[in-house]
Amino acid sequence: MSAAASGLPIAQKPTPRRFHQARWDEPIIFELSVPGARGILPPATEAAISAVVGNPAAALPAGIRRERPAALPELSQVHVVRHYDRLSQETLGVDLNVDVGQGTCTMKYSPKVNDQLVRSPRLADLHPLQDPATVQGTLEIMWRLERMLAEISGMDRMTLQPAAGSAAIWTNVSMIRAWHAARGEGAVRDEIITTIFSHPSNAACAKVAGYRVITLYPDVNGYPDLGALRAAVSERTAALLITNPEDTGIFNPRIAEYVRIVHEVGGLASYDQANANGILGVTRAGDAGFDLCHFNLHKTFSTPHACGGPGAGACGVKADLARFLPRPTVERVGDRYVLDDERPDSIGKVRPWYGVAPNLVRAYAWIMSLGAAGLREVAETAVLNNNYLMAKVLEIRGVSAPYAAGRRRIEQVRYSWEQLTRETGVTTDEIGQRVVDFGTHYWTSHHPFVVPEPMTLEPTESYSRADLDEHAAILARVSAEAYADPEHVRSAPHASTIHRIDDAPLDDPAAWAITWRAYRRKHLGAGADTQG
Amino acid sequence: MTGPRAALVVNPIAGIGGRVGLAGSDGAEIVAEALSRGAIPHANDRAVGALEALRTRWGAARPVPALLAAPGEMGADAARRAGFEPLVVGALGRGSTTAADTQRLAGELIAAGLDLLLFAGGDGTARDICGVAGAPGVAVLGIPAGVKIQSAVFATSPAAAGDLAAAFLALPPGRRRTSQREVLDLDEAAYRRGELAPRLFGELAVPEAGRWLQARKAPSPASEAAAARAIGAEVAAHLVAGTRYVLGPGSTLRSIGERLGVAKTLVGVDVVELDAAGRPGLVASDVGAARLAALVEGCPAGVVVTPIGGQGFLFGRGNQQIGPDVLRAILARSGRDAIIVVATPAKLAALGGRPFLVDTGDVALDRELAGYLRVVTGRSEHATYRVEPA
Repeated sequence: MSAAASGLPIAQKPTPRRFHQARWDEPIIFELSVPGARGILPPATEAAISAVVGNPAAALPAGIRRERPAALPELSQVHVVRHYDRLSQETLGVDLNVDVGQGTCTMKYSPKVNDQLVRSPRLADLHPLQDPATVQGTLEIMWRLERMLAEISGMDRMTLQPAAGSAAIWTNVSMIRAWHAARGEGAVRDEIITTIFSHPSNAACAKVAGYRVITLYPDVNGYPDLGALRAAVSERTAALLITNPEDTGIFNPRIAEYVRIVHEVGGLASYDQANANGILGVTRAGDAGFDLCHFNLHKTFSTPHACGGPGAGACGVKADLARFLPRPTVERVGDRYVLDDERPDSIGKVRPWYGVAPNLVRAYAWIMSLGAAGLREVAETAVLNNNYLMAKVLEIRGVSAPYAAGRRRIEQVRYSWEQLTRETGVTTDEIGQRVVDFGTHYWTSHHPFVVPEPMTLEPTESYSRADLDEHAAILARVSAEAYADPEHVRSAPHASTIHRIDDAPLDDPAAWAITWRAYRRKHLGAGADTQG
Repeated sequence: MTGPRAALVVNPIAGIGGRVGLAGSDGAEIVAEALSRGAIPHANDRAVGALEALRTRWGAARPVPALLAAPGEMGADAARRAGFEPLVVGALGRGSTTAADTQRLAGELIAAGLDLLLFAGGDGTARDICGVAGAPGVAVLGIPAGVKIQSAVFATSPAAAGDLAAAFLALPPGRRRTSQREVLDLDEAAYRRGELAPRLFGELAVPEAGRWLQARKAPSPASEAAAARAIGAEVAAHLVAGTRYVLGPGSTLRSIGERLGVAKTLVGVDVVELDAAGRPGLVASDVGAARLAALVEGCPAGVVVTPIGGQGFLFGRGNQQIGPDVLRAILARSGRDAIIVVATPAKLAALGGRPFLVDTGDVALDRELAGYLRVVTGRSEHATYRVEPA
C-alpha cells in the first residue's frame, strides 16, 4: 500500500535539499592514542618455532632495521573504525555529493567493478620482486595500456611509472633536460616557458628541475599571448609546457603555431593532458606536433584521486625521445613480456618498481569497458554537460564567463562573480562558504586570481541532467541571497561545521605543519629528538 | 536644439611635484618647494591635449560641443589654446589657486548646466571635485595630470580622455552610460614618510569605456611582501658590475634596495651603482629629472621599474622623474634589455590582460617602447608582457 493510499501526507522535498554536515570535533588519531592499547593481539610464538627461527628481525639487513619502534598511535580496532567513519562524515567526495565544483580535477565516478578487479588476489597478492615469468598477465596489461594511451595521444611510446600528474610532468622535464644534454646544449637551454592558465605543476616542476620559468599571460581573448611567446623564445628555450584547453575551458585553435614557434628555436613542446576529458578521440597531442605529453589516469581515465595519492601518471613521447624513458620498460619478445632495464640513456627510475599497478589495471579496465567509440562518447558527453551547465549558470544574476563571449567551452569553465561582488560586496570566497550549506562546494582558481572572483566548474560525463540542475539551483539560490540579504551569505556556513580558516600559516614555513611530528615540534614545543 | 555641453576645470599646479621628485603637490609649502626646484606646471598642457583629441575625434561634420570653462589658468586658457571659444564661468580668487578654488568653480560649472565635467589634475583634484560633483547624475572624467593617480576616475592619457569625452557626448542623453568609480588618495605626508595607505574618498559617475579608464589601483596584500623579496633576490643576482641602475618608486623596488643593502626610498627615484667588483653603492637618493639625466649620461646604465598596480603604467605615472631623456640615454647605450620590469604575479593578474602602458611625454619614445618586455616575477620566474603607448 502506498503512502498516499494510506492517507498519510507525503512530505515534499525542498529544493535545493536541506543539508547539515556532521560535526564530531574528532581529535587527530595521535591524540586518541592510549599507551598499550592494541587492535590485534597475536598469539605468542610457539616455542618450537622460536627455537628454529630465533629473532627474525636479526635476519634483516642492518640498514633497514629500526633503532626504535615506529611511533604509531595505539588504539583498539573499534576506535580506529569509529575515527575514520567520523572523518568520512566531515568531508565531501565524488561518491557523496554532486562534485562538479572541483574544476580542473575531473571528478568523475570511478566504477566499483574496477576496484573489485584490483582487490582480486591475482593482483593484490603479487610482489614486484617476483620473476617476470610469473606476472605475465600484469605485464601484458601494462604493455597493452601503453599502446592504447599512445594511440589516444598520438605518441610513439609511454611510461606508466609516475605516481601522479606532477610526477609525470617532472618525468617529462627530466627527459627534456636529457634530450638537450645529449645534444650538447644542456647548459645553454636553461629556460622553460609555460602559461598562467596551465596547471601550475608545470611551472613548479620546471623550477624544481633548475630551469628559469617564463610565464605567458592571456591576451584579451583568453589565449596565451602569442606575441609574448615570440618575445620569450630564444636559444635558451628548453621547452614549452602548455595545457589546451587551459583552465578557462577555451580550446586554443592555434596550438600548432605555438608548437612551431618553439620548435623553430630548437625547443621541445610538452602537452599537459592531465585533464584530456573533453578531447578523447577528438584531437591528439601528437597531431599538433608535440614531442611529449602526459595524462593523469586519476583524472581522464577514472582511477580514484585517492585523497592526493597515489594516483597514476602516464607520459608519452615521440620516437626520438624514447631512449630517455624511465627504466625498466615493458617489452614484448615473441609471446612473452619482459622488463627491459638495459637502457643506457634512460633518465632512471621516477618511482620504485613499475608504477602504481592497481591504478594501471583500473585505467585499463575502464578503457576496455568503453572501447574507442565509448571514449569519444565520454568526451562528447563531458562537453555537452559542461555547455548545458554553462547555459544554466549564465542565467544566474552576477555571473559571467570571461573571454570568448558567446562561444562554447570544452570540458570546464572558469566563471567570474565579479559583477555580483561589485553589486553586493559578496566575494566568491563567501559564496563558496554558503554553497557548502547545501551539501556541495566549489573551487575558485589557482592563485593569483587572473579571472576576478573566480569559480571553476567541471561537470565531466558522470553527472545526470538532474544533478547539474541541482548544482545550478544552489548557485542561483545563493546569488539571490547575496542580492537580497548579503549578510546571510557573508555569515555562512550556517549548516556546516567549519567557518573561517585562517590560511596565513600556509604561507609561513615556521607555522605550517603537514605531519604530526612537525605539529608537535612547531606548535607544542616538543624537542626535535622526540619520537612521534 | 541645443548640442551637448562639456565643461573644463584645471588644477594648474597639479603634478608639479612629480618631475622634481616630491611625490605629489598637496599643500602650499610643497608647491613652493617644487617651483624652487625648477618645476614647470604642465596640467594645462595635458588639458590642451585632451581637448585637441576631443576635437579630432568629434570631427568636422557637426558643430563642436559647447565648452564651459573656469577662468584663466583654471580652464579658459587651455580651452582657447585648443581652439575652443569657452563660455567662462565664475572668477578667480586672488593669489595662487587652491583646493577651495577648484571646489567653488566646479560647483559653479555644474550649476550652469553641463553633460560632462572634465577636470585636469591628480587625486587631490579628484577629491575636490568629488566634494561638489559626488551626487549621481553628474558625469565626470579626469584628465591625468597629477603625480600619483590612485583613483579610477581618470582616463589613461589626455588623448584617451578626449576620445572618451567625444564618444560620450556624441550619444543621445538617454544612451549615455556611466559607472560609479572610486576616488582614492594617499595621505601625501604619510606617503613621503614611506607609508602606502590609499583612502577611499567617494565616487564619481564616470563615462563607461572599457580600457580607456585607469583601473583602481590594486591593493598590496601581506603575502605580496614575500613575492617582492623573491623579486629583489632575482634582480640583485643579475645586476651587472660597473653599471648604474635607476630604481623607480614602489615597495617592490624597495625590496631590491634591501637586497643590495642600500637605503631605497619608497616613493622616490634612486640611483645605485655596482662597482667593478659588483659591490652596490647608493649614488643618489630621491632625484629629479634633470639630475637623473646627468647621472646616467655617458655610463652603462639600466632602469628598474614596476607597473602601477591595477593600471599597468610603466612610465609617466608616479615616476615622472624618469623622463624621456633618461630613457633615451639608457636605450641608446645599453639597449632594451637595460629596462628591467618587476611585478609580482598577482600584480600582473590584476591587469586583467590589459597591457603595460607608457606615457613618457615623448610620443615617439612611447612607440619605441611598445612591444614586449621581460618581467621579473620571482626567483627564477619571469614573464613576457605587452607594452603599449597610453
